[in-house]
Amino acid sequence: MTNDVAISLNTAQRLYWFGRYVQRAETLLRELVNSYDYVIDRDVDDGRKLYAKLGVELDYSNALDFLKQGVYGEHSSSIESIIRWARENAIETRHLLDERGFAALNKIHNHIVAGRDSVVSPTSLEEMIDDFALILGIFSSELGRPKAYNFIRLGQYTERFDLILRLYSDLDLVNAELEGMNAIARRLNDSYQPLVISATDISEVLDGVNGVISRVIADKTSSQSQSQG
Amino acid sequence: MIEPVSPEYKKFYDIFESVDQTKVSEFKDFLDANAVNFNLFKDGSFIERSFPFDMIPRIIPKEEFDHLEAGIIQRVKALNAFLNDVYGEQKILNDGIVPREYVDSAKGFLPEFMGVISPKGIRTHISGIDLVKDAVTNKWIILEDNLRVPSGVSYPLTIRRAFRHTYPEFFESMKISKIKQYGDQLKAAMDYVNTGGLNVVLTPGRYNSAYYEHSYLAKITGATLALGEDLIVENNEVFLRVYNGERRRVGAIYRRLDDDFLDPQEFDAESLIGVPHLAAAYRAGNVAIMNSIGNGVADDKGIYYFVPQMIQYYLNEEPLLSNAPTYLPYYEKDREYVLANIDTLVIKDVAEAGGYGVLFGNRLTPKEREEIIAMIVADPRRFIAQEVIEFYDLPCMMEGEILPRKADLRAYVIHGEEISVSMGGLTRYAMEEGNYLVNSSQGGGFKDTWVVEL
Repeated sequence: MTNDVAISLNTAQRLYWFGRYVQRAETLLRELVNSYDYVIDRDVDDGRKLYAKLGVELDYSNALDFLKQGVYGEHSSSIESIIRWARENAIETRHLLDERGFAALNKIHNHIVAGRDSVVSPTSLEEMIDDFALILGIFSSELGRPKAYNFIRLGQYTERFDLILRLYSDLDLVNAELEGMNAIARRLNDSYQPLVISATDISEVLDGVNGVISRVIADKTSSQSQSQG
Repeated sequence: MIEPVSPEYKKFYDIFESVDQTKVSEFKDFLDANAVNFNLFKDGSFIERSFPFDMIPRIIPKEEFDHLEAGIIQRVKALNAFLNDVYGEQKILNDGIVPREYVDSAKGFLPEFMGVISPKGIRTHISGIDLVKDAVTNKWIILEDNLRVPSGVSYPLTIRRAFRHTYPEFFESMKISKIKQYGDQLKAAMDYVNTGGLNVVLTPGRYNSAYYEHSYLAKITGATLALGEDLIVENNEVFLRVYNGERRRVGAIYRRLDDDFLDPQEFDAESLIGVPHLAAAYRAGNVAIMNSIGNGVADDKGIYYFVPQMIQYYLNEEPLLSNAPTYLPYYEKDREYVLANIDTLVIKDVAEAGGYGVLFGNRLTPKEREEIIAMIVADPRRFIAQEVIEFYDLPCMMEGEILPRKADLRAYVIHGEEISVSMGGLTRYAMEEGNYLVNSSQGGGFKDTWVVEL
């Protein structure tokens, strides 16, 4: 039996952004760990190139410092700030979230805050990736509130596509998975018009992907809303 | 003075000595991991703070609690009747039981709501009644009635679950009354007064000190958690703005913000967290506001003095629980007594709450003493004076030691079709020895409260 509650505009936006930030944290953690090896073995500038794709000029002196800057650097894509935003959105929607999932995220946040003055090791980041996989798994097992979960999933899809396009410009991959996103959006809003990707220009596709939320919810400003993150 | 050890407490200590006490740290881990916070604003900054918890519960024997429960239900019935009367015929004022000027000058009295009938005649849907146990008479005494937005119930509910997970031994061996039905009772009360539509918990938002609780209550009742901007009033009906542009009618609102902020059209025009025209919908009888608008008149510290008389007046019963001995400087005889004995009394500003505006006569400097006397003489209605109650300390675990700390009890009462008292409550204790102010907003901690049957 489901126990779906009416979801307000604010809550819908928070759930969506929660999904985005969790996905962003998990993906960027993976990218950081991968790039760490590249910085050591192949190309000392690999980390700079990675962050340049996100619009961030990252400076570091060695591989460990690269991790430190990736996690704690003063930029909008730092893992610390992404997790902080994920937590902020989770706090505002925790009445709809699985308690264990919330606690797992909060623990990661507390761990990150407490470790600010410590060295960041790749092992600790790998553990964090596992924790995020656990969080996403917990939410996927939440059967009682499907609408809330679907907003999280929509956020995850959007973020995943956004990063695939920004980091790898892989239009085919986005196209292959697009129906999944459209299906979730349709479940959230019967009158949703599916997104079709016909353009080849990445920035145009990015606009389309990031605009899906505004076809689902009534607030036309939501896709650009920075109040959520 | 610590409360004498009852057989129920003895049973607790017997088990306590046999369990792994190092697991106590798991409670703090649990509260931190789950962000079970009671946030503070200090020096203009927002501080996220988990609510300090002490694992030694307050234990109340079932028989003793039964008496408390009956007294609390009696009190809430009388207070509800008083509110209906004060906003209706005002018989109690006409009969001279409560001085009219006392009501008229109460900050929480809203004459513009005269004649408004709350759905099902209920105004005190959720009450928090503060009590202490007098170490001299060994009796429970009512300190305060909270009939507007009493907070705190989520903390014992949350920690009880953690307690059962960490130390099942107590629950296997002791007959401890369950409290988890609170959510169902609250939902039933919301459903009972609901005028047709959704149940909503209205929160001021994430930066409110009790936001955790708002979220928790929405979760356990299945109500929609909403900000003021999520609600809209049209034709005197309240609607939730659903994400897809639809509007869904709202029938009951458990509001967690004070009257002042509830409706910028009616109260503070600067309020950004309220719902414009909500008061009009309430007036039209189209939505139940829990607790009702204007309840502040009944938990005014000055009106508190008259609650025993209300019980006699409305219920024709003798009060089962006593007030703290209280003096109203408004009455000349009381004023003379207060001014002559100020050094032994507690002076309270009726407009303040949360432990603010409380002065202990024996701690005043000569200058402060002079100032407060002048203020009482100038505005006697603004103050009450009470004898200092020497209430029991409770044992608290602090840095590995068991130390005495002053503690009160907040009992939670839900008034739906029936009136029920949660079989536990929030025990708040002061952090410092000898401190009588146990309020959460004063930095105090909390304990679970166990009603135990042998």
